[in-house]
Amino acid sequence: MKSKPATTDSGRSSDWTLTNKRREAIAGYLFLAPYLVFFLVFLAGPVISAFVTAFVEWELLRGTYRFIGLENFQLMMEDDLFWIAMRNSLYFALMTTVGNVIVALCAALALKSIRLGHTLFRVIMYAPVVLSISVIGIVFSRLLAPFGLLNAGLELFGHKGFNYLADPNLVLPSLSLTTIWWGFGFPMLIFLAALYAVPEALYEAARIDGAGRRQILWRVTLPLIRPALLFIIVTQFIAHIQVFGQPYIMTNGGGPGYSSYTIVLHIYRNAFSYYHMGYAGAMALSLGVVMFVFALAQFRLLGRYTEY
Amino acid sequence: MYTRLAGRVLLALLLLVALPLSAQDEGEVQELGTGEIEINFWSGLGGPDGQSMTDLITRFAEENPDVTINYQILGWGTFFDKLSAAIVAGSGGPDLMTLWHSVVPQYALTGHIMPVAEQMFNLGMLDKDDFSPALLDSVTFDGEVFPVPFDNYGSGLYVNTHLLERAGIAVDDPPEDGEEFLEYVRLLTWDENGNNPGDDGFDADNIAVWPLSIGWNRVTVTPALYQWGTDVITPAPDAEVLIDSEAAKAAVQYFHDLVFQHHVLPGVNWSGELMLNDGLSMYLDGAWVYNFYNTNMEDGQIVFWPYPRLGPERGSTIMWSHTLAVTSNIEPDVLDATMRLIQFLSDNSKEHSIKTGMPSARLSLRTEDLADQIWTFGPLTTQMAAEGVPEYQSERFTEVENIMAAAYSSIFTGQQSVEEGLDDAAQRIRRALR
Repeated sequence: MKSKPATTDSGRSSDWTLTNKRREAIAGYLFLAPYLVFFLVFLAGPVISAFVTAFVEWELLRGTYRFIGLENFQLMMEDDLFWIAMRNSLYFALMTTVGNVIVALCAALALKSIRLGHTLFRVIMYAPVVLSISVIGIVFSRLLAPFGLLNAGLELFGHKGFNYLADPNLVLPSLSLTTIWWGFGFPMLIFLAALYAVPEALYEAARIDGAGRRQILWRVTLPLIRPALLFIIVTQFIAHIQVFGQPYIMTNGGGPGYSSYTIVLHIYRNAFSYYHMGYAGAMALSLGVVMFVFALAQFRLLGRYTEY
Repeated sequence: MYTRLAGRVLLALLLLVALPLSAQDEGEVQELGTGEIEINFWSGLGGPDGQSMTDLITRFAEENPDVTINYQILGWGTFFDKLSAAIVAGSGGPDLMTLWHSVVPQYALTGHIMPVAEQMFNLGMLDKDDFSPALLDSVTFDGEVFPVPFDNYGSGLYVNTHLLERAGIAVDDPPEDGEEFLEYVRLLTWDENGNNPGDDGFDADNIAVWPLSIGWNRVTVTPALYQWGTDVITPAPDAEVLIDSEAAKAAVQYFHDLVFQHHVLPGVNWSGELMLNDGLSMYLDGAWVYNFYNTNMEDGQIVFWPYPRLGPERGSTIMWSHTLAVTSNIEPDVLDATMRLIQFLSDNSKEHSIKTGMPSARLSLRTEDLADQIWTFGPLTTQMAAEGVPEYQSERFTEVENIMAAAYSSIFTGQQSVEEGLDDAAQRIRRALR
């Protein structure tokens, strides 16, 4: 009997605390809500929808929609254009990722070593990144045309020009070089940040031990910026295997023939030009798996060494 | 040589600046008029065609104060992708749209556009007999004409008169057949030393003036298929693939030989701009190029010849049309205003012809006086009337034509032989039609 009021007081106090916690939790969820809604509607929803789409026959204009199991994947296996497009995309992604890493790293090393005009050069090198692919595509189509500026320049020096965008052997390297010029500014900035994070004392110690420039690069710089390198390689590969705008604008959607026909172009055409949404969904899912496998392999290969 | 080179550099620089600027107006919605009834009109007509259409719509809005037209010009490159998405979504799409006659089946057979032309013929707003029967047939389904053809155009040869004179060919003497065409092509080719193919010392690796270029393989090869008595496929519903037939292979072989045997045609599609600085003798393309040349050439520098007779069966050219189509789910009061707008545009399509060089689809509006104003008009309309062929009807037209574009490109750049390229294309088309 004596303890009852205390219990009541204590009970009140406990209820009060719980309510506060609840309130805090509700406030937390409310703060999270905008992102969660955005995430569910614009990310999780479409991903789930795309996954489901891969297993249905969905002809957009006809309005047909029915579950067909793995038939879309079977069609994909028999579709020679899927394999041509996948091969081209992998070739482009490997070439462009390697090129981008080399150019961006060289640019970052050069920028780190200069004192005068550092900011100006950084801005100039980063500037192409802000241009849209439409602008890049139109300008480079003209530059690389048979009678474009590049060949006109070569002619001035007595060299014969090339059909950069119409030669089956040159078209993907040409698109890759265009892409490298357009996009190396971003990895360059990441590399630059990573390079500045390397303690100067390590370079001094290496120099005292008699290491030359090349040894310092291979034995000090590259191992210490490996996390940045891994990040760049994985993100660049994932971005470039999804190449779309360059062939869409510069080679009339994958020409000559299917020389620059890429997997995302194939998906896009099937979805929005031919309205085979289900088939496009199956290819998109397969592309996702390919990207995941490659990213995993890159993490395994580059991430297994000790981080300093 | 340096003058020509400087000209090319200057032209390339100008185009670098001009191209991004020319795309600026695309996508913006222009609200024309102040009336209560709103018509959403999507058009793919850009450049001078788009401007001419805008002028006509503005006039219609002034004369019809009860109507507002929300007019949006979208580039052809993404027009159909956006259109289909909007149509399927059921909102935000157009009431009225321009459609190539070739893609009409994919919208008509799936019930997304209505037979507005049939309705207008029945109401007496337009006269069915005033249109080419072949053209109307190509947009007729289950006995009903769907969209209203607005213009009607073909393809042919744009020829540089300076180079004709240099070759000793009369301006009014187009080639009679494939053999004569080959001879013309030979005479209109010069290497850096001024020699023609077949002359002693002709340097095929250093051609100074190319005789012929192609703007668009589909425009070039399609009439040749007709001339060899064949096509890509037969019309729906029982579409049969013809592109791997012997006749089709012979037609494509003719162009393949121009590239690889006679060395008079670059395997890639060059722009016809080279005609302007006398670097190219002939350019095979559609009526839509007229305005570019008309604006940029010196007086009389370029003339127009009909598509040459190359094949054994018949003469032919393409006969295409921008049509005006109406969505199926249009509101009745909007439909009434939309039909008035279509009637107005059709009635005034002669004005459009004068501004753009694209002949009207209305036969009565192709009057003789236009030949004095539009230098392509006479040869173009005469050949279309006698030999014009609209493209086959297929719900899978876009897919089939993309397959054909890649096949032609692959053949003319030497990646595949004619046999391999067309066999592969036929296999892919059969798969697409399944």
